[in-house]
Amino acid sequence: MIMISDPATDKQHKVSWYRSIRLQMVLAFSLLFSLSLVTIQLGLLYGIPFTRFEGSIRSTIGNEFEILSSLADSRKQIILSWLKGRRNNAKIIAELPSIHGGNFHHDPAVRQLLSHWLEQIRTTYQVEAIRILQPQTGHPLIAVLSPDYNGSILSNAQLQLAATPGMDESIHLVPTPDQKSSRLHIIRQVAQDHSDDGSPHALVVIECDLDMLLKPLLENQTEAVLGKSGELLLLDGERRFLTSTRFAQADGTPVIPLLTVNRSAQAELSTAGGEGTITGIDYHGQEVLAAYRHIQITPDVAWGLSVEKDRSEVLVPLRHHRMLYLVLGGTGLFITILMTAVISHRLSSPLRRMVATSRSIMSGRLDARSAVEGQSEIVELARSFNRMLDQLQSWHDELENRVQQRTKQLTKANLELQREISERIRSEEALHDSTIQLEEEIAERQKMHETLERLNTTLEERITAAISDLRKKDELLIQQSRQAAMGELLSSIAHHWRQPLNNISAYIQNMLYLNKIGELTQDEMERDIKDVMDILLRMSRTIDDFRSFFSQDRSKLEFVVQKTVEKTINLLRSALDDKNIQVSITAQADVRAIGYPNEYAQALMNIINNARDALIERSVPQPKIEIAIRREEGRSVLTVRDNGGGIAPEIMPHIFDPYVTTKGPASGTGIGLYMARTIIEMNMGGELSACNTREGAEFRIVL
Amino acid sequence: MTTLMLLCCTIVLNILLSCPGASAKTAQNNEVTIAYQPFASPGGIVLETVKRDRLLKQALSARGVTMRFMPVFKGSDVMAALKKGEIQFTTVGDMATLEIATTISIQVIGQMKQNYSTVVGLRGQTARELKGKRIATVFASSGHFALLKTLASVGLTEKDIRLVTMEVNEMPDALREGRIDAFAAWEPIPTLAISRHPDLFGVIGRQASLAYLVVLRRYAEQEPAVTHQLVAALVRSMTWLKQERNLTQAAGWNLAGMTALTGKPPQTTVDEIRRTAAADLAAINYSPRISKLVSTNSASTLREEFGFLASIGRLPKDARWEQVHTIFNRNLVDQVVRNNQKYALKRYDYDL
Repeated sequence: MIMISDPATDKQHKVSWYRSIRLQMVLAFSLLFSLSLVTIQLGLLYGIPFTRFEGSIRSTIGNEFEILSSLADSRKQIILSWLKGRRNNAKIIAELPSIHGGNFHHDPAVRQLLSHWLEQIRTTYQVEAIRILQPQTGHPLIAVLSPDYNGSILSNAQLQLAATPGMDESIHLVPTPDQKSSRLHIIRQVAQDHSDDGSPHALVVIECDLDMLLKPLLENQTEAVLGKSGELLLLDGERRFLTSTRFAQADGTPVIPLLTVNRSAQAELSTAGGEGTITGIDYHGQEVLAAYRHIQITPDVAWGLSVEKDRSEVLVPLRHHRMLYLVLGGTGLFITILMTAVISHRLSSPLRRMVATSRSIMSGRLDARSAVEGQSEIVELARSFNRMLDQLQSWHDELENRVQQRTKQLTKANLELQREISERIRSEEALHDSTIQLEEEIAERQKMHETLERLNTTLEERITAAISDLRKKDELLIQQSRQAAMGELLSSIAHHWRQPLNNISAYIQNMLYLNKIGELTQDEMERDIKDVMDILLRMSRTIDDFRSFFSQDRSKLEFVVQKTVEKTINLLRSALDDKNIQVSITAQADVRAIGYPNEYAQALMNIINNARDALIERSVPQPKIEIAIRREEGRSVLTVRDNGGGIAPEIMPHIFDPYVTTKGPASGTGIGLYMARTIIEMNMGGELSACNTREGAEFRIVL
Repeated sequence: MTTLMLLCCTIVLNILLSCPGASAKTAQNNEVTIAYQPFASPGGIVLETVKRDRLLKQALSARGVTMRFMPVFKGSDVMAALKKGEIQFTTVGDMATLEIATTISIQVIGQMKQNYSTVVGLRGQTARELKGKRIATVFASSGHFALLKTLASVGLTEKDIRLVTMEVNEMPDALREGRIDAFAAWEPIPTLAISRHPDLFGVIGRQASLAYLVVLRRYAEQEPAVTHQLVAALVRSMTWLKQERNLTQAAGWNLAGMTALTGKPPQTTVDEIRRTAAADLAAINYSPRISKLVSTNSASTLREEFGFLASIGRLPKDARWEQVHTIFNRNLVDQVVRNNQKYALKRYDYDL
């Protein structure tokens, strides 16, 4: 158990035993060993996928198949060889001259000799019986039988087949009377080549008990290969067992040769002409490895041979190996655990010493160090740990010194701070008092503020009312100014019209005179009338201008500045000409402005009238007024310049204030320029300014 | 007098014409073709012997018939010619017989072999290990069928292997050179291959395989005498080949036949051919009698082969199993054997 302190909580934690490095190492290596062992075991048993290594199970089965195949091939040869021998025996007997010639029929001595010879053959080859039969009846002409021969008779059909011309030889199987075996009959025709129709004179029959003769041959020296469960099975073309078997059928019933049918896959394949190996279920219900062969006895007779062995018996050595592997594996695991425990103990002891050193340090023993010896990485770690502790200790000592110094400074600072705190407390108290006062004041001011707000509200209303009054007064002033201007204008117009009217009068009187004296010609009359009409037209335009000048514009519109200027000048023409004031207009083409043109003209009239008044007052020798119209930055700029000497500097700032005039009270109201500014700036959003030039004053309208 | 002389001449002529090898009726002067496979055992060696049978030639020429022998690689090569009637007789394996029987009216008149088609692989190889391997065979042949039976015995199908088609005589070299992993073929190729490389090759599986002598039914009906004479020649040659020296002689003829067919000497010897043929002839008892084991019942191997050929599309869609029932003429050989004097079965006269 390891105790570890948590600095945050100052509690000690226990490290559980199952989390220790030693146990983890032991577990890890044990697991690794076990996994490796299991993997190797499985690989050895079942092989490695996608490689040629097929494992011991498949290898064992493959080897067993090879052994069984080899045994099947050899037994097939034995069967064929044995059969060939018996068939040769029959052939030799059939071709024996005394038999072939039929001498024995009538000569008992020959028959006796033959019997003796046949008996020798019988005993030599251990056949059950050798007979020579009458082909038509089956009656035995000569017969040598074994002492315990219990007889088996060919059927008529079999006899008939055996005696068929061309059937030199035939083979038949008959069950023994006790049904424990089957008896092979090899029948050879005698002297068939001597008859015209190919029919034999006699039949030689050799009878062999397959269980007694063939089976021992087949099973000879096969114990090692077949073991406890293996056997050789011989079947006829209908898959019937030909010999007795080692086991009963799966349902417990015994196998009866030539009666019981083998329904296994290997029986079907072998009797159908196939040869090979197979894993299948045998007649006694066990899974077997089988090598099967097809044995062609004659063109009409074929047998099947199956050499079988239980799969479980084949794999018995592997089971023994498996037990061995388990035992060895267990021992290896134990050794692994032991060695891992020892090694992990040795590896982890420097770590444990480091842990103990850590504990000592935590408990306050700062000079504690881990004892180290050796050269491994963990030992190197311990040395580094010790060096680290040395470094930490030196830092610690330095830190202690600094801490002490700092403590002293802090203590001093603390005292000062406390003094300051006391002062501040006092100040706070004072502040508190003043805060209370302030709050009272604030409350009072709040009240005043509310009062003020109320006053502001009423003031706003009053201001609004005052502004409204002022507006009304301004309107009145404008009206008055307009009326004043109207009056002036009328006076100007009256004055302007005097001359034209005189001219008209002169024209009429001239025409009357000429008519009276009879010198009035048509052309002269028409010329005079035309002149009069022109004068009337000009006078009419003056009326139009006058009327339009004073008609109030309802909405802002775009107007050509030059036209408005010319209209205004026309109206003032007579007043200006009367005083020989030269007026010049210099204008860029098509300078337009948006506003109220009539009010614009009124403002301009005020400015021109002021200029005229100034020129008249100062008796300027060559009075002139220059009007310039141009476009600047998309806006129209109108300048009216005179040579009247300029505006006095003390008056210039107030030139546009109402009731400011340089003329006497009888000459001017002082609201003309004020109205002009009101019109231009307040009504139309433009700019009206004035300045002095070298010769006089200049007024500038920007719209 | 004149009438009597005429009568005597007629009697003499009849006697002469009734000698063995001559027919009572004079046949038309025509040629009959027999196709055979030099590389098959024992069909190749037997037909090479029949080809040199003077007694047969005499019997046929008396009927105005000449015989032409046409070597082929495999039985299915003759189908088109059989259909056109260009070939009247041919030796074929059991698989090719079934194919031919469903499109052409034929009769099986004799059995040429009863041995095995074998799947040959590397020594120690098992049937299960054939999975994923390259296996050579002649498509739709008895070797192909033997391969499928071997695969089926371990739960595999043709889809589990890579089938490589090639001529049967090329297979042993292809296996030795590693171009294939196994092959399935009819005798004598497997036996020769294993005997030549017993430490390299081994048998993986076998399946009984038969071969027959077949004739166009209409020809057999038109010319029964020619048919009987050919069967007699067959019986005669098989009996003659029982003698070892005769078998050796015929093996030499067979080797020459193989060379003539391929244009180059085959990789076998006279002795190998002889030994193989001896075993194969003994298996059929040196007789062309059709084995009773050849059954046309529904559970027989022949039925299974019919089903296999139908499944791979080698038979016409309207092919019926019932067509196979009537093709076996088991009596013909017996009829010939019963008349051994008439057909001179005990006389031998060959062009040596």
